[in-house]
Amino acid sequence: MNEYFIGVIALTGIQLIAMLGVSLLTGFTGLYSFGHAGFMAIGGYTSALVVKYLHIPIFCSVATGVLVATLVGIAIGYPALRLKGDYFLIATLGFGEAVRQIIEYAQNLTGGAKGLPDVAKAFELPTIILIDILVIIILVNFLRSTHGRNCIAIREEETAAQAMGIDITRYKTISLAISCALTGLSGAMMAHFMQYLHPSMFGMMVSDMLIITVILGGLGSITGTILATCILVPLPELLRIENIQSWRMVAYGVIILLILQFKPSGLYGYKELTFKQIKKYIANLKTRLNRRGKSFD
Amino acid sequence: MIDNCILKINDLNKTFGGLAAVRNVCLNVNKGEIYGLIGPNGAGKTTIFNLITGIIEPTKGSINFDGEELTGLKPHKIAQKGIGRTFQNIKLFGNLTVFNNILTVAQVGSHYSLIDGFLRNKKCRHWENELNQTTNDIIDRIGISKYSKILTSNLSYGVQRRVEIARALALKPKLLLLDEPAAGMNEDESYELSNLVKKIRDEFDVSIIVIDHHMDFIMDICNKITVLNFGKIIATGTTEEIQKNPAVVEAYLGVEEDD
Repeated sequence: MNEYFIGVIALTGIQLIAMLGVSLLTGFTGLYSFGHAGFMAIGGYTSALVVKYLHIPIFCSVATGVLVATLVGIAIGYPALRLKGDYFLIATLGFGEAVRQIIEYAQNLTGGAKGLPDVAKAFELPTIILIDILVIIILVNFLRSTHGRNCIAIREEETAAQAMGIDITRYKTISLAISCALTGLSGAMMAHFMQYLHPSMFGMMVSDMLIITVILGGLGSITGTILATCILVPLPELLRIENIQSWRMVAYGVIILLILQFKPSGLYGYKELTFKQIKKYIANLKTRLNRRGKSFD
Repeated sequence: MIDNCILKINDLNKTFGGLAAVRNVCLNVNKGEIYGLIGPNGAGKTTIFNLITGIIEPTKGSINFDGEELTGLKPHKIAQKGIGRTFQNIKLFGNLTVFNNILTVAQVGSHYSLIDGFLRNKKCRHWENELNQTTNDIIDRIGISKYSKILTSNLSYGVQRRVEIARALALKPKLLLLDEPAAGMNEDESYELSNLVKKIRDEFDVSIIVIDHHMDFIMDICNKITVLNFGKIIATGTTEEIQKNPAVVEAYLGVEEDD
């Protein structure tokens, strides 16, 4: 495997964490955020700057990044989650852009539009994969707990959830906080892996990418999100051929339109791909192949 | 006598803009009673349910449940105090199985912390086991165990209504509000339902308020009935009293014109 290829896998692994965060918020709690790149930026810049100025171990700086992203998420959620319907979406959209503008404006601290070079190096591929696995386990545990089920109930039927004793504001906040923590973690890992930060890495396009991937993977499905991430994140890298490059976003749009038209619930909407299913599929495949083999005899 | 009262509504009013949806309503529901709430469409029956459960706030008046004032409380707090309800236009968690629908409600008043949930430790697994048993118990008692693993959105209307009742019972309520449970049911189904409602009152030790338009169903199960028209109470009494009441006949059938 060459270095470039490993780099693509590592970036996919880092982005996966942010995707899972958005998946929890959108796919399992039914809240649409178009500003999650803002939380990635907060995680990334916080971690990078904390290392640069305080010289603490990277593990601690990443934790600080996650913490700050989570706290900002809760602070934003306090008013925004009390808004009804699509207003939460608008609030997050504004937030994401605001974060980017602030980073660009605070030149002395963040390097502004020139970017922030020489971020301390950390995170190799094995570490990234290990963190991915840990995040997935914790997230699945959460979703199988009373707390996760409360979030899902809110997605399904908010009024009923409320009338059945679920504190919807509290669980929306919890879901938002976890998703911000994960997106912040992803941003911090990105900073240390790329060793360079620039406001454009966290633009609206990235927020859109996050939510689009989750929707294409299927709302309410962890495996769907993972699958969609593994397909969609490396895709632009594969499409990085001279002439095709400029058509990349068009290709994206076409894929999205096709999925919305023919499979609006996404790849695995409200379902999980289990090992049992895979086994069954392989078993079916075997019998089919056997039969074909016999007919040839 | 006062001790026996589970729900006491006093001078309840709700106006939407200029429209008085509920006017000066007083209700007293006793423990163990099945209380009927009837009236023509738009009489304010569902609004009263929404007021009791805190989904909308009253303009004026008080709602006293088991000695506690409910007005001003958040809907989830009211539910946790022991008021379960069903909805006129069924509001189940459609993408979840029957089992998960009921499990989600059975867990209310959460038993373990967020961290326990993340780690799925011993405490978490212990409670999950317990909750599974409670859920299966309710499913068995309502007689919907054969649908347990089916997504509720794939069930027939009648079964969905029963699942919704089971889900409300998972709250372990002292008061159950049923909003048109017999809507869209045929004669056999509504007969079955009336048996189920009586069984629920006896076995789950719960008082019930029921809204419905099926008069046979209402007359069969209710101890007491209140009739509403244009947000106002026009009559309250036992089934016999209501059937003979001229004001009720007028509200439902109109006045006979003399030539």
